[in-house]
Amino acid sequence: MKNKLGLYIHIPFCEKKCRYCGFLSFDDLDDHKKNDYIDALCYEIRLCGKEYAGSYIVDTVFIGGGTPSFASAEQIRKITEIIYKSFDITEDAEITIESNPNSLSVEKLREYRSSGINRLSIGVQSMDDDILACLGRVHKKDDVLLAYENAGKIGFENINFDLMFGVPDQTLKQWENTVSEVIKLAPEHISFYSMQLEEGTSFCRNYKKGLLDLTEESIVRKMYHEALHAFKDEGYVHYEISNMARPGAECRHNLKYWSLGEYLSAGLGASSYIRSNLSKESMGYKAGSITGSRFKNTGSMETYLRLTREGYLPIDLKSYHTHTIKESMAVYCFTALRKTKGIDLGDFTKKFGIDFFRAYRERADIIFKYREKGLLKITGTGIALTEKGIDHSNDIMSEFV
Amino acid sequence: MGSYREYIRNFSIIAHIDHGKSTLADRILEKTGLVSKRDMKEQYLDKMDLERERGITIKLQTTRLLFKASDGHEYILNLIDTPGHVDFNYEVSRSLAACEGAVLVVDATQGVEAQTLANVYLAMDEDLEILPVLNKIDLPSSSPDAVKAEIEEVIGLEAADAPLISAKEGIGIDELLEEIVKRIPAPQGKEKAPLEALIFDSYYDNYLGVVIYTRIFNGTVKEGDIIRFMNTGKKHEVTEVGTFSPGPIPSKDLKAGEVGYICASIKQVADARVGDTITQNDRPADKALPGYKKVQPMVYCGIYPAEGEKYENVKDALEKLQVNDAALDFEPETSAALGFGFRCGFLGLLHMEIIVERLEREFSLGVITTSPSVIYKVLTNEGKELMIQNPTNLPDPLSIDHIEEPIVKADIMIPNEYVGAIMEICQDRRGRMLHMEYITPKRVQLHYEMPLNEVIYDFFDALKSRTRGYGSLDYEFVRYEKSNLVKMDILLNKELIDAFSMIVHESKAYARGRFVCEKLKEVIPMHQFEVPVQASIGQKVIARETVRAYRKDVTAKCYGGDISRKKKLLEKQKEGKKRMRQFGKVEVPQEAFTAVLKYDDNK
Repeated sequence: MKNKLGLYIHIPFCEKKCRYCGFLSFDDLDDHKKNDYIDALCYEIRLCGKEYAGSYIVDTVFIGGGTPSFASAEQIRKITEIIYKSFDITEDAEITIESNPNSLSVEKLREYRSSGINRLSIGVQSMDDDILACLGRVHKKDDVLLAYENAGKIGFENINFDLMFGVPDQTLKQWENTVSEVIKLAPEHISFYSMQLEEGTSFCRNYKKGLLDLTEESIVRKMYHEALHAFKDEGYVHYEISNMARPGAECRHNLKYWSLGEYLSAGLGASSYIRSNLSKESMGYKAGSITGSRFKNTGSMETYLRLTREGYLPIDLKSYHTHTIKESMAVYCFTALRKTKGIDLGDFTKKFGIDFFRAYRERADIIFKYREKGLLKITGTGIALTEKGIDHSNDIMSEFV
Repeated sequence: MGSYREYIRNFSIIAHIDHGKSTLADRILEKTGLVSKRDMKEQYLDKMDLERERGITIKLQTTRLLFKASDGHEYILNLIDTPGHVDFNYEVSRSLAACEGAVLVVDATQGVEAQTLANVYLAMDEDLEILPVLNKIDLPSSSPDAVKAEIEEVIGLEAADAPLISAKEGIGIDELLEEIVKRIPAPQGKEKAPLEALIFDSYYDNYLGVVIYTRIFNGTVKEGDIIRFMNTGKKHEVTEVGTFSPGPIPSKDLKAGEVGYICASIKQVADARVGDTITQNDRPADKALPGYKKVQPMVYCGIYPAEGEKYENVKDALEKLQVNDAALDFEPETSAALGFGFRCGFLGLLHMEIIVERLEREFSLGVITTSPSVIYKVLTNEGKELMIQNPTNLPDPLSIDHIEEPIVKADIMIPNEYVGAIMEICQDRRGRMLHMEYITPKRVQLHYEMPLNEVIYDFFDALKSRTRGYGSLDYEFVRYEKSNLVKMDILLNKELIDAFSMIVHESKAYARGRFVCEKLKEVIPMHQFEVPVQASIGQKVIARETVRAYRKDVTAKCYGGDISRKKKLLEKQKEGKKRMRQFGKVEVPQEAFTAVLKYDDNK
């Protein structure tokens, strides 16, 4: 039987770079360059297919960016077609595209549907035009309303809103308004992230010059917990630190990241994780233990275009890293803690052939220390962060690396 | 006539930092065939990683070279390297004392700098023949004629015929070697006279014990001789003598005029002090060679094991470093905040940074260093005199009559457009201007007297920052002077953390207090509770900041499955935590101790 695989496709196009955004994306590519990129991406997907389609079946696809909806519908169709040609896809595959509300025309939405895309992620960020302007977003609240309405009409039944809090000068009141407006619209899935200052962004430059104040951390934490409770009250399930969904609408692709699930990524600077099972006794761990390799594509557009044109996978070889079992365990634990279910002890034993508490016997006292502080909870089946623990998650996660 | 000495040339290369001294030394080694181009890297350059990274020479490297000159004779060239930093001035002067001449390397793109001058003066003190050389002439920005004029004007050295070279490109090296043979005098001395040999450096070797670098002025030394160090009075039997090429090669003897090494089963470099004179025990010289002094540490700081690090390991490492570094001084001390550790003395701030970095790199130790301090002279009401190098040991203010602090003479060389800016920072650091001279219309030297405590704090960084790297500094101790000094304490969460205590001038206490509190606020991670950070003098709080509760970015986006990035972040956080110290309920990262010392242009 073939293993399940997630596919991530990176579209590094934006109409305009947002002021907080540190991700790999460009707002200055001309049409010619964009076409070149899409062609290169298609080459790469085809190459990936040759390499992996024999042993994998794809069950999630995530077209992210940048702003994939800023690419033309035709370009997206080209990509989905090459994916279908290159890989086996499960019947019930989750196929997501990220979008910006102002670039979602009815025609585009229709094209997406007919291309097999069944999950739409909308970069809403805020329902307040002042906050949107502050973030440097190109859309307004009305664009969100229109895009959401159209998407529903056209038949999208699984829609995510990306929200952002802790925006400079954002008041608690403004955030509460956004939360309640989102609740009124009732999307199936909600991601809510705290804004972070990223090196190289316009926000970061201004912050360093003293032109920008960040929201006080205690208020940011309050925004998080308030939203969490408001969404819970509406029946959303909190399944990952920053993600909530209607029961059954959890993002399967996203979950792969937090469960040592395998994913292959195509596009500029995109990261992949491919697992391997140890076939022989190794380092004292049982056969069957899971380890895997992470690698990343080149972040240089020139190199990316050249390598794909020459028929190579555009991997940045320096980034290639095969985890030792210990590292795999560490990654398993800290990523699992992003999920509210936490570390599944049974699954841990199954994956690594060793009992969790034996593998981490030297850290056991630390785990219990966090439990005493009320930051971790130990249940019959697992170890998870408490709601209070989420505020200290980096601290706790770092105990495992 | 016909003495072996006629074919010996003993010389040093002197230069301002970055003017290409080490590159030139390497090129000369390569030219004289001692080190092949291929071996260059591991053989010579790689002696100490730190030296390479910082582009400075810490440890001397002395080498004997053979050069066949155009007159048909083969000459022995003894190249005596000098350390390249103001902290090691005394060592430089002793190395120069071992020579008859010095090659003065001046960067043809930069001209004369403060250390160029400082080194030239040291060389002149030793009556050396100085051979100016212009380096980096391959660079388009070089202006050899202007720099020649500057050398003549500023230093008063004839420079019209100064060789033009590029050490990097290997241009002009042969000509330079010819000049060295022609211009630098052969050594004098009588091999039959009583032994007079100068120690100009030493290092510890696991097999040989201490290896002494020496220049023989008179007499002869060979294996089996009983030698005596004239200043320390210690006696040893010689086990081996020889020369460097560049590794030690044993020889029958060392005679007047020669440069080489002596081993005598000595266990600590501190027993063979730089500047001391070696003589024969049974036939001693009349008097020691001039210029000896015992080097005294100028700057002290506490070095403590970081969380989870063993005291014993730090002690072992310091002992190992001391075997090779006579200037490093340490003794055990305890701090209420940091536990057991050491008070360590250094020649200067750079020396301190180097030692701390070596502890971390070569011994993989996590250490915490406390604020560096100079030695204060405290006169008590009873007329007692105390030398205090740890602010914590300052006696009760009521029992103090007055405190004196060390004053240095600082020579600062800057391009003329920065005069205003530098006067301001000198003034701000309680400097008194002695005089100012225009060395050339575009280059100014400022002479100041300044408290050493201001110099070690952040003066060098400030100077570099305000002159875009063009300013250079040289300083030496002049005297102790009465001053209005107070002890400033830092409280975290209302608890006094002795490791942060410092002695400051009263006029600057408020500004420093505010600065330290602001810095600590930046570097102390957020806790589950608010952490007040206060600076106080006695009972009086003079500055206050608050570290806000909670930690950042726990719910930020982790994008496109880039787990590696998240992992790196967590690793960094964990690494940071290892270097944290728990003070009461507050965790303080290692960087806090250095952050409070860093120059900040915005303050």
